[in-house]
Amino acid sequence: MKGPLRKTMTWLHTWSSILLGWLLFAIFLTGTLSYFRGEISHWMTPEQHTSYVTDDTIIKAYERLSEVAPNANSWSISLPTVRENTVGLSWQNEGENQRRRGPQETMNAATGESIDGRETRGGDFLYRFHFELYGMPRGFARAVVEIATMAMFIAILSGIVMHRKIFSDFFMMRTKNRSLGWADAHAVTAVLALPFHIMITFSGLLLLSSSLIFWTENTRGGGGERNQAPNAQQQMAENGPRGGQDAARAGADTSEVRARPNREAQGERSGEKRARGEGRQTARHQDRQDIATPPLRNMLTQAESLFAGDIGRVQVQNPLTADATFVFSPVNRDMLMVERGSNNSVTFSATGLEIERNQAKASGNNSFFSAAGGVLHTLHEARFADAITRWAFFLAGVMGTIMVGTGSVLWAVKRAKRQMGQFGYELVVITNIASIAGLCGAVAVYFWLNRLLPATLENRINWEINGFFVAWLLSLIHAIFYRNKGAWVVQLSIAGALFCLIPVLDTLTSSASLLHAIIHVDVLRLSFDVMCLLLGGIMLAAARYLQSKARRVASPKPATRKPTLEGAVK
Amino acid sequence: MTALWVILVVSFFSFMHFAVSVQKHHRDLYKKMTITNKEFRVLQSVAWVTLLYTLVPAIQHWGMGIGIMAWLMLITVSALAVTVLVNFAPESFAKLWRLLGVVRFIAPPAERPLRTK
Repeated sequence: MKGPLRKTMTWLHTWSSILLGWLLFAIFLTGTLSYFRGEISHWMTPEQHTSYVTDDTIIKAYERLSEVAPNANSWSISLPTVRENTVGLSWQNEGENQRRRGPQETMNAATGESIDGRETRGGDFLYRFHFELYGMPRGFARAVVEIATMAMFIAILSGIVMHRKIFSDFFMMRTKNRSLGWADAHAVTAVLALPFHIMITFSGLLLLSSSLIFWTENTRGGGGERNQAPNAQQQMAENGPRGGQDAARAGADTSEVRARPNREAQGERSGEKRARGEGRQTARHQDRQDIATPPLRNMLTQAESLFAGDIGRVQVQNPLTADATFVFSPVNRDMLMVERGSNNSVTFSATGLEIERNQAKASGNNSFFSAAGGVLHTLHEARFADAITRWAFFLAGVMGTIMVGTGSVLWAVKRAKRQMGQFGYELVVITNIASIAGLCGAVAVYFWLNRLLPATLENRINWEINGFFVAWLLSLIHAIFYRNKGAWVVQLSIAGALFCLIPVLDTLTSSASLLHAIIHVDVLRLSFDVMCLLLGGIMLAAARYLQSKARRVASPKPATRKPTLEGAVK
Repeated sequence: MTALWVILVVSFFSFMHFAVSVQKHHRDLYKKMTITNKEFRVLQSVAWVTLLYTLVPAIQHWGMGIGIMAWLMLITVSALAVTVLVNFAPESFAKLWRLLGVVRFIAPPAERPLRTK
């Protein structure tokens, strides 16, 4: 029973993964990078690099808003946090559509000036590419990714069955025996990070599951709702109640139920405003001038000690009037399921007195499935993660990427002797090079172009993305002609060198040098640079390994060669 | 934050014991061909106890559901570190083992570890 089963599983493992292995590699690589989505976006907007938090940041934000939006109905300030080091300002004017997001700008937290960042899609491009690819109808792309995920899941399960002694082999990296190098790298990265692989594949499978249900009407567009919902959920996390409004709109029927309390609250608020009427508006204009700056710093420290954590967002109602209120809400990352619209918050009056306290409610009216969906999202995207855990997820993701890559390489290596020169084999070799080494290079080129293209170039976003694909295409062409003449080594070396030089590029082309980042502990930027060094190091190591292997094959030293049976036959 | 470092360091310690309980790595450290049953049992139990101990701070930090997942990711990292060390830097692994391994009280490792070719 065991023998045939294992044989079947080996067959299944091989063929379910080679067909979609290249796509899976792209999904894994861009997905792994997406753990640092915020870092990437921050790095790709070097105009923000001079910004750092000071004690006066909140006052600067207040002053800036009084300058640009003195007549607004409400202001909203999102303060710098661990994942963001600029200040986001937005406001809403009287009579504007409450559901729309008002005008907004990004402010330098140190100087209080508005930042006019370059146009870039930053980490969002890689993040979107991870599950929607690019330039395809969304529904179709999601279905393709979903099918690839399913193949991955099959490959994991069959791999576990195939691999007899999965747990006792934990530390069996037999690198001493050179010819087994690829198989070992594949097995070790697969076995060590197995919990991660299962978690990420299973949650990914479920998150995209609606993309394959094409027979119901509301998934027209391939689960567009599903797509919007996480988005809106995230906005919710970032923007508080107003983001929640968007969520209610975008999430359509699924999130409608959860969004209701929030909407009611918003409705009440705007109704109240309308009831108070226009008279107050004119009154406000009169007493606007002689309102003293409220004790914002005290409020902030008070709120921080209350929630024992950073404050992410300050909402000001009726700013610059005597009855202004200031709502402080903490960075909300540690709760899994919070009822939409309910946030931890504390409200102060203009004189700094505490008026009201709100506790986030753990959601009670979620169905089992939406609750499970929330948990899967949180896990899949590591939303709860702090710096160390984020790095742990990232490293596990890198191991997954290496596993997929080495798996595809293994397919070709095992067949090299028998099938060299056959069309199918050569095709696999070419695609391997282009999709693995080529994609690494293309990502590096994407980062480089961001800094090298002039900041004011028209259609900048498109140039960056086109550059990414042009680099990928070039690697494919290169792979076609040089597939057996060291295309692997050349492409991996180029990609690795580009990645390793990114810190140099960073310090040369940013508005602030790396020294500045180290002094002001710009964690986002430094993490990005460290991440690039790490990835570059892995690529260069792989290139070196391949080169030494090629050299050994070309001119085997008699001393290191053991007399073997094959040797004797030759 | 300190809880996370505790998890990383203690699980690293635990995986060292797992690694040594494997025949091949045991042979690298001690100049014996086989590992005795007693040694194996002690190594394994030290490893399991310390590894499961690290689950406690993880669950305290995140709660049950997320805690277990995050714990798995963190121990993956220390397992990776041990694997890399054991295979690419066996000398420094042996040094670390002589410093940290609890089992050295029972069976001190050979002074100069063998290098398998």
